[in-house]
Amino acid sequence: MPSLTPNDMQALLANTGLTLNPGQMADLVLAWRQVAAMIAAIPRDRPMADDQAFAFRLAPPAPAQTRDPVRKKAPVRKKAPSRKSVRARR
Amino acid sequence: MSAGDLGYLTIAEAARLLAARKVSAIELTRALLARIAALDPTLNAYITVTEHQALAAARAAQRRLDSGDGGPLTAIPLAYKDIYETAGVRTTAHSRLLADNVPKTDAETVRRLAQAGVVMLGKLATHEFAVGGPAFDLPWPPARNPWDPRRFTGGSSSGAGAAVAAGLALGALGSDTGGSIRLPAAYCGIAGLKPTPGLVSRRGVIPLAPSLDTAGPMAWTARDCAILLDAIAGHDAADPASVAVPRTTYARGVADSVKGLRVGLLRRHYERDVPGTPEALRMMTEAAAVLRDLGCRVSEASLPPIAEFNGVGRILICSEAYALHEATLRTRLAEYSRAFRVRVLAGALIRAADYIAAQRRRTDLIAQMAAAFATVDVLVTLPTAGAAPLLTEQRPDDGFAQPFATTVANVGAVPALVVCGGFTAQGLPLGIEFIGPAWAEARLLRLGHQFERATGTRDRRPVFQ
Repeated sequence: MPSLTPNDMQALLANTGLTLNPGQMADLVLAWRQVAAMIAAIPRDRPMADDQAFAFRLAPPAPAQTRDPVRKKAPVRKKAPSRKSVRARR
Repeated sequence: MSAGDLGYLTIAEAARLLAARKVSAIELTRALLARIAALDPTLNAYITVTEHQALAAARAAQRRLDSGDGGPLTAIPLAYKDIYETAGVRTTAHSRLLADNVPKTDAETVRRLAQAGVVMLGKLATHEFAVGGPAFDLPWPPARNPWDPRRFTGGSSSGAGAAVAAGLALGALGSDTGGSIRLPAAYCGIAGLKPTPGLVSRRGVIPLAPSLDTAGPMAWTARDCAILLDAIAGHDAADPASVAVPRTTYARGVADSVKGLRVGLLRRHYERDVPGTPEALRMMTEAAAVLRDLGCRVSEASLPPIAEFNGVGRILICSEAYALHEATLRTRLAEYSRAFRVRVLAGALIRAADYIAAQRRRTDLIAQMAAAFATVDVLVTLPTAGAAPLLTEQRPDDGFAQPFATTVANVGAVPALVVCGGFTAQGLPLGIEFIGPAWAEARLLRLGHQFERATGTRDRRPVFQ
């Protein structure tokens, strides 16, 4: 359990720029006791490589961006002749 | 109809009367404003009453109804927890620090409801910045419970709970980070839905802890919550947490049968972790029988202990709220309430490694929550140990000293609905909580509606001298 004395707390709070009066410090000591117990209760035995993806999620790419720019172009299929052009050839 | 009768209409009933021209938008709004004037000096549900805007909105809504362009929420008088930004209307977060804060734009949910034609009656009391507890060292007093004004409303959507139960608004929007919709719903005997994260936009809602915050509806019935959810749910591209889920109609399905629904009682949670009072436990036994009568298949289910969810939730809330307020705490510490300082200042001492450990543990708990839904469709539990305690019994460090059963659904990232499950011998409401897997709001609202109908709890209202 990360136990902190009131002096430790004063030192840490000095880094945050907070200045507490004695009453506020007494409240914090009480609250910290509860929070420290909660922190101590969190299991930490997780594999190092576990769950790296919880931090953020990117939106999927927009459809226009999905085409791979280095991929070879598909062969162009010949257009079927229109009825009009077939008739003209006759 | 008297002001009392109109104040105690459900949203669905009011919409029917408005459509049938049996009541006008102005009549309904005036009736609610009269109730606020008469009862709010005792209940303190409102921080700001927007009488002139409300009457103007009612006139506009009536024109819309007259032209046949009305919907299920047109002319319905609602109010918002005072952390929802409202263009041109003071949004204080119940804090001295924002006493003069007048936003330029509406929160996205407020905008959607305005588009639906609702009448905003005003802004509702909360705990300061939606955290802490009832505080007497702020410019506005804490809300009081309509069933007994000496008692706590629950929080932090405290004014919303009081206003809806007392008929000072037909519905409200609250927010829920660790139970702030569901606790007042339980103590005030109304319905409150905490949606799946991402279903309802949080844009324009003053945050408490962004990794856990949700915005949701509160109303007298589950059906009314469904009507409100129909208007506010849906993707908002400008809210990074919003998710584009397929559109569902919530209100249309509430009357459908719940026959065959697999319901799991979280007995360990409400008997051991946060043990219910004898009356609350009796209510749970009776509720299980009601669910069986409705055709549900009732069994027992289990989740990790409440303390695990609660510990993770408290560390995240404390750290994130501190981070949001650090700059102001440095310069204006004394202007915050003692309740806020007690709940948030410890965040200054939480190390980044501990915050990350809490986030990682949360991913485990979310997975375990999802696994629980492999065998059941809905989990059932008590949101609170019993009925509302006296306001004088509340201590600023209660949030740490006593675990909240409601935090389970916030940390587990799932939707949860609280409805009234019954009453104590003293006539105080007792809540019951239905928890579903992600995106199962329609199922929860259907079960809540059927449960309310079967138990008849919606026929009883607070009585004022």
